[in-house]
Amino acid sequence: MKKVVGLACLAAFCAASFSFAAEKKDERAGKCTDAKSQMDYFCSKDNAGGDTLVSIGTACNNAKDNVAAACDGKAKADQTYEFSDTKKK
Amino acid sequence: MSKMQRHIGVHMSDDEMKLMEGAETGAFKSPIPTQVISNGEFNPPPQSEHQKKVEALIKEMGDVNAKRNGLSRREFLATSAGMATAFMAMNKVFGPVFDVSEAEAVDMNAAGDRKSRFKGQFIFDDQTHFVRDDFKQEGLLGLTKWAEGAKVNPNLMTAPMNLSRYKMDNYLKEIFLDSETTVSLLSGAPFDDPSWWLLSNDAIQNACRSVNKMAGTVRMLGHTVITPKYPNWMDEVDRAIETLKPVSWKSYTIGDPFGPSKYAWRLDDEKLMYPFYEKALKAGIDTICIHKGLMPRDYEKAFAGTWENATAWDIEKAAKDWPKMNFVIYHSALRPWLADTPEKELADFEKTGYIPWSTDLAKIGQKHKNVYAELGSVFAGVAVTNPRFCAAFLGQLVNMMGADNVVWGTDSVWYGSPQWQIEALRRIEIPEDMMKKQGWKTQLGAGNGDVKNKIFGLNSARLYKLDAVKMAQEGTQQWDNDMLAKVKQEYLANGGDVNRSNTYYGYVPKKETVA
Repeated sequence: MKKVVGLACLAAFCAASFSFAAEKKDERAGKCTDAKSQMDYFCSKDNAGGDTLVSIGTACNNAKDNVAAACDGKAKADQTYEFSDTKKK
Repeated sequence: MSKMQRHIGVHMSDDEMKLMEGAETGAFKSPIPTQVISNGEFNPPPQSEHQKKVEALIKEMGDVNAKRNGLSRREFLATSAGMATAFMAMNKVFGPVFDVSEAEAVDMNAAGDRKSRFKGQFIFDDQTHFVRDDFKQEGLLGLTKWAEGAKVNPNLMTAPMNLSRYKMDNYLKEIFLDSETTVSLLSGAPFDDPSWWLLSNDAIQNACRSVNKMAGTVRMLGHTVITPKYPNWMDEVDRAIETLKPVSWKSYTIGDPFGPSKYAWRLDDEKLMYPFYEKALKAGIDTICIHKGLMPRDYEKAFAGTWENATAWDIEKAAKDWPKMNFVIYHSALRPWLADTPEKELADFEKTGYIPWSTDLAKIGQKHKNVYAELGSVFAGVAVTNPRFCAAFLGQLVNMMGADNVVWGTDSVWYGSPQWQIEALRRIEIPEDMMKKQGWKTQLGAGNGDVKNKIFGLNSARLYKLDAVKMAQEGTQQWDNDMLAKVKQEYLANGGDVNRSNTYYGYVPKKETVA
């Protein structure tokens, strides 16, 4: 009986952990496939000649962050839009 | 040009560089662009057939007009009559789009007449930017490099290609000394990466206070940037209402103007936005400016999962539900980003009458008079590179939304002084055949006629509660003798408006490499 209860607890723990990991994925900038598509486009130098957005450069970093958030569950913390002109660098 | 002599930031390979020559020697010194010049980051395409025709005509007409005035062609093309000659050449190639007379192209005194004709025209620039002093993201210079490559502004390189050109002192020079702008609206922008944030909401208001105090008149108005979906964003709204007191709000439904963002949202999101509209109206700050459009050709791939937030599709419900709120749609929601080819968009428009996504906006504006189209960056992007497409885009907005609902904006100071854009709007007209085919009734008219005066400033005067009636009657009288006007007089007296050299900097393909 103890064995059954133990296995049930383990299964419940695994399910909870899996669910927790899934919840951690941040898909606000698109699902994992979307984020990968963004990265394919903005991090390719081939697109820089025809698109000023690519040459500006910040979009590739956004896309990498979005892949980490949506595919790996590693989202950067949100920041409030509140700053003094000399503090943010 | 050896590797050692290359400018900083040149990305072309050695083999690619062998096929190039310096634009200052290889390109024809025309008052308007006759080919795309590379800033070193991309391979410039060979001249198109249209561009070749424009260049040949400028040379031919320039020779004739120069002789009449006893000048060399090069000397002549550096004058205002030379600029008029270039507009005439563009008309011959693209059709009659620019208002320019034979007399202007021949008579060297015509420039003075033109200046006095437009004296007193009220020009309100609804979208301007500069960056904080400690801003370090040099990638932003990509915007100016685009303008350099597309050769849209003959005076672009009067400031160095570094971030100093985006700081406040150069902003004041480019907008108030080098152009005929009367009042500007200063904005800001959020990015997912905070190191890209341009100006704080406090800095925007501080700048306005300083400039207006110095001028002794209202010369600069300021936004408060709002950031829906950021934590505690409504706290900043409350603070703005209480202490900053902006004339309007600014925001980005796409979240970040330069990349796919985790903060994208919709104007018609009842839960997120409706409490904001209620609060804004109660405070009497009833105008919100929204960045829309400006997407690359492969937007579905590049902005997968977020691109719909850049369309005009969320405007109608919000405008209908909040009729007292004014929605100023920046960039007129025009989809194509700067580097796109307007030829394709023009061909599509000629076939279908549809321009992505500005036609969607124009249809909404037909029904809801609290929706406005703003021209920042998009007019700059197409006015000189394809004036016929520019005429189609403007013609549709004016004829569907009405001339009362289109407002002037330039996105300065990204593309240098806005004077070239002002001059192009004054001259541009919708071709007769387009008017007829589209069944449009309203032409753009004279540079200081009713339609263009409304676009240039009277509509914004109404929106931002400046006295539009007084402005229509008196023009710029209240600003003509303020401190900024006096500084400008001194600046001009000391040679501030030196003749353009028509020399461009960058790279063009060597003639022999072009088939």
